[in-house]
Order: sequence, then C-alpha cells, then structure tokens
Amino acid sequence: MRFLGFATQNPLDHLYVGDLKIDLIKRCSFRAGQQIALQPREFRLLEYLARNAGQVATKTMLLEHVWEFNFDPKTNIIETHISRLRSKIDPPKGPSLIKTVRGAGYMINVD
Amino acid sequence: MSIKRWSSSSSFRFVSLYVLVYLISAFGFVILMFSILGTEIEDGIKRDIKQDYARITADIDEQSLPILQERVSEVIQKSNPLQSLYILEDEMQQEIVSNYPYDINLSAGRGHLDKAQERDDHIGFGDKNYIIWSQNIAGQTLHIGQSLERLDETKGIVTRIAIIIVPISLFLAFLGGLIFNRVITKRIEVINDHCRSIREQGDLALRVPNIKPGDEYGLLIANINAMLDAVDKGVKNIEAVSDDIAHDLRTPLSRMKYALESGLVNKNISQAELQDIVKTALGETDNLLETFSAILRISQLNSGRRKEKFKQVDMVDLVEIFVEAYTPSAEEKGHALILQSDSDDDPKHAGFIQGDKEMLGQLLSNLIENSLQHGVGPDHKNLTIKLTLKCDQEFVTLSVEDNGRGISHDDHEKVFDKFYRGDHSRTGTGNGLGLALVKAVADLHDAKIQLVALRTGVKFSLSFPRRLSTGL
Repeated sequence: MRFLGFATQNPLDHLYVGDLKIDLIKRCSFRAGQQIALQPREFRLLEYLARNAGQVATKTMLLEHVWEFNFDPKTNIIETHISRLRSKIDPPKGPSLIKTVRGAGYMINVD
Repeated sequence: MSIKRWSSSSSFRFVSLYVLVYLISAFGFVILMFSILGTEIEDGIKRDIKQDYARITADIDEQSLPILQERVSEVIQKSNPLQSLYILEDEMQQEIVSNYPYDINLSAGRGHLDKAQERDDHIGFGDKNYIIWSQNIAGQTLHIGQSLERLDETKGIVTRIAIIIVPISLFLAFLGGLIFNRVITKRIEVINDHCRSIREQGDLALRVPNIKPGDEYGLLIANINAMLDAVDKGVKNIEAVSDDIAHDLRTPLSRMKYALESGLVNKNISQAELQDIVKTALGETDNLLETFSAILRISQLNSGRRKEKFKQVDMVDLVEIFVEAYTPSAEEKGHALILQSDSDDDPKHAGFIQGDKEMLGQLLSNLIENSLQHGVGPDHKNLTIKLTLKCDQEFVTLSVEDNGRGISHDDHEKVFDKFYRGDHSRTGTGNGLGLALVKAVADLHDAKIQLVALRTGVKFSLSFPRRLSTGL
C-alpha cells in the first residue's frame, strides 16, 4: 500500500519535522537539539510518522509498516505505544508533536 | 435391469472383454495343439520309415541285389498302397518293382526325408499326402513313402474336441460373468439406492448398510458413510454457527437502531447529543465489522488455500515482536508479559517452521488478548502472562500461560468452537471467535493444541511440526 507516498527508497539522511530531527543513518533522534533515547520499535514508529508528516496514519497502516504485521488487535496496543513515544519526545508540559485524529489515527503536524 | 442399462454397465464390459480374451486364448490353444501334434506325429512317421528301410536293406550289397528285389516285392504284397509306397529303381531310374501305379518325379526329394508333393485328385490315388524317403543302395534307388493319414486323423480329433469344448466353456464363462455381474451390480445398486434416497430426501442421518465391511465394497461404503458423517457434522455446525451469527449480530444492530431512532424522534436534539448518537452507532458498526472479518478469516483458513503461501517463519522472532508490541498495554493495566525461550544455540533447534507469518501473528495476538481479556477475575488481580518457546528437532512448541481465573473443565472442549463463550465472559467484550481462529490457524499448520488447567490460570500449548505433512 503506497497510496500515501511512503517512500522507503528515499535517499535522505535526515528527516526534519518542526524541531524534530531524525538521523536515518545513525538511527537516533533529536528534539530541540536534545537527543532522545528510543527503543528500535519506537524509532521506527516515529520515523514512519515523520516520513508521512501531514498525513493521517491509521492503526492498520502503523501495524503494517512499523510492526510489519497485518492483524487485528482488540487491545489498544497502538495507543499505548504512541503514548510512550509521546512521553519521550514531548516536553513535560506543552502540546504533543503527534496529534490524535479522532476515529482515524495519528499524524505529525508540519507547521 | 433393462438391456440398455446392462449393456452400459461396467460389469457387462468386463464380461464381454473376458469372453473375448477367452475366445482368443482358446483359438491360440487349438493352433498350438495342431502344430505340436503335427511335429510329433511327423517325427514318428519318419522314425517308422527309417526302421522299415533299415529292415529291407539289411546285409544288401552288389551281389545280393536280387534279394533286395524279393524283399521289396514281399512287403508290397503285405502292404496297402494307400498306407505305404515302395518303389525300387535301377541306375537309369527305371522302375523295377513298385506298388505305385503312376509315374512320379521323385528326384526333388532324393536322399532325404521330405513331405511328398501334393498329388492332384485326378490321379485317382485318394487325396493323401505322403512322406517319402529315398536312398541309393548298391546303384539302385529305394523310395519308401508313408501316408500322412495318421496326422490328418489326429488333427480331426483335435478339431472335434475343440468344436465341442470351446462353445461349452464359452457358455460357462459367459454364465460366470453374468453371475459375477449380478453380485457386483447388486452391491453397487444398494449403494446407489441409498445415495439417491439421501439426495432426494435430504436426510443426512441415513447411512448405507455395510454387510461385508472387509472387502472393497465394504471399504467404499465405509468411506461414503464417513463422508456423510463429515457432511452431516459440517451442516449441523453451519446451522449452529448461523444461529450464533444471527444472535450475535442482532444485539449490536438493535442497539444501533435504538440509538438512531432516538436521534430521529427527539426534534430539539443538540449537536453534541447527535454526535454522541453517531459515535454509538459507529462503535456498533465497528463491532459488527470486526465479527465479520473474524468469520471471514476463519473460513478462509478452513478452505486450506493459504497453505500454498507458506514460507519459512522464525517463531522466536515472531514471539519477540508480539511480546514487545503487547508489553506496554499489558503494563498499563498492571499485568506482566514475560518471554521465556528454552532454545539453545544449536542451529537445528532454531525456531523455524513452515507457515503463514500473518496468520501466526494473528494467532499469537489472539492468545495474548485471550489471557488479557478473560484471565482477569472479579478480584482484578494483576496477571502474569508467560510465553514460552521450546524448539527441538521435530517441533517448535509455543506455550502461553497465565495465572488468571482459568477455564472451567467443562469448557475445555468447547472454547475452540466458533461463538462459544464461557459463562463468565458472556457479558464481556469479544465475539467468541478469538480461540476459534487460534484453532483454525493451528490446524492449518498441523499443530497440536493442548489446553492445560493450572492451579491458577490456564496454559495453551501449541506444537508446530517443522515438517508439514503432505496432503490434507
């Protein structure tokens, strides 16, 4: 499924979304210049959302591209992974970089 | 049985073929008899002639030629020219003594035994054939001929025997075929009649009676009955499942209907209330869709077609991914998810099996969620869900155990049935399809499922064979 233009062959070294910087080679990420320690899966989740910044990523899409599985969880596993990621990348008080799109999924805002 | 049906039946074709083969072999046998008897009798006649010749020419030399002439005259007087011919010729091939009344050119067969030339009927010497032996003795030539009558007589006897015996045995073969045919068709008719009445009456409880279970027809009947059992079970299962589906879909649909109606009836409804109603209706739609996709997935699995897409799957990898995926949400609820791997470094004991990665993922997800959803009792204690992977040369065994409230023993058999829910989970979430799908995926991979009741909680154990059985 490539209708969202998820370009895996993108030759970019770095991704920039707002004050978020992702180093695709060293596989590390920075928020406002501060390095954030992420688990490999969390990094892939952030990378996917950043690559598709401005577009909604549904739970199915996240499962398919981040976990590489196509299954129907009844538990809110995506929500908890997103909230863990948020707690790592967002400042303690302030708006989250990852927005919840109600009834659809998640996305990172570009502005 | 009508002629038309009889002529089209397989046993008729069998009988016809049998009779035909019998005829060919009977003719072959007669021809073989003819040729063997012919050679044997000819050899006998040749031996007789040689003895006759030796007797007549005993102790004859040039001085005793008149004695030879006397001896030949003697045997001519004693013998019947229709049986034996004697011709003595001088150096000029002029006849000295003979019982053969005509001129005969014997030069062709001189010096060795040969079949005599065919003699034309007009010679007036019967229609007999002779074997002639010609040999020089002291300048003269003695020809001795023996009639082949003996041979002809024997051949006549053989022919007469064949004419009597072949039709009789042909008739017996045909009769045997008929009886054989009746026995077979009767048994097939029984099967056919029962199959027809099952089809016409639609009564799947009917079975074909099996009188002699040991033979091929008994096996055929046993197979048909086993097939009927499976079909009957399948139909009953479909009926039960359709009932369950109807029941399961009615509740969310009526809730949806109620919500939508309330939105329509209330004229002064606010925007926020309307939003709530739509949200409720959407939530119910999600439940319905989820149930449908679970049903579809199970039936897709049961069709067995997914087996064609099997690839090598590393179960160690798979279990790690799912434990990692579910750990945050388990921890959030205060539960623990533990992965225990029993495998050593032996590459033979790696977690590779042949399978469908997506389906195995769904299986793992369903097993973990089953524990997360149904394991928690009314005391809301914190669960520990332990996943274990044990790999040996033949099997990769996955166990998922929890220390929750367990599954009551009566339910052990039924938990894998579609839409089955234990008493305590009837009110909760879930559509009763989670473990049915686990069973379907396990069956697809020829895996054995074991359900073990623990002192607290339950353990599901699945043994995946590394090598899949071929066939279904």
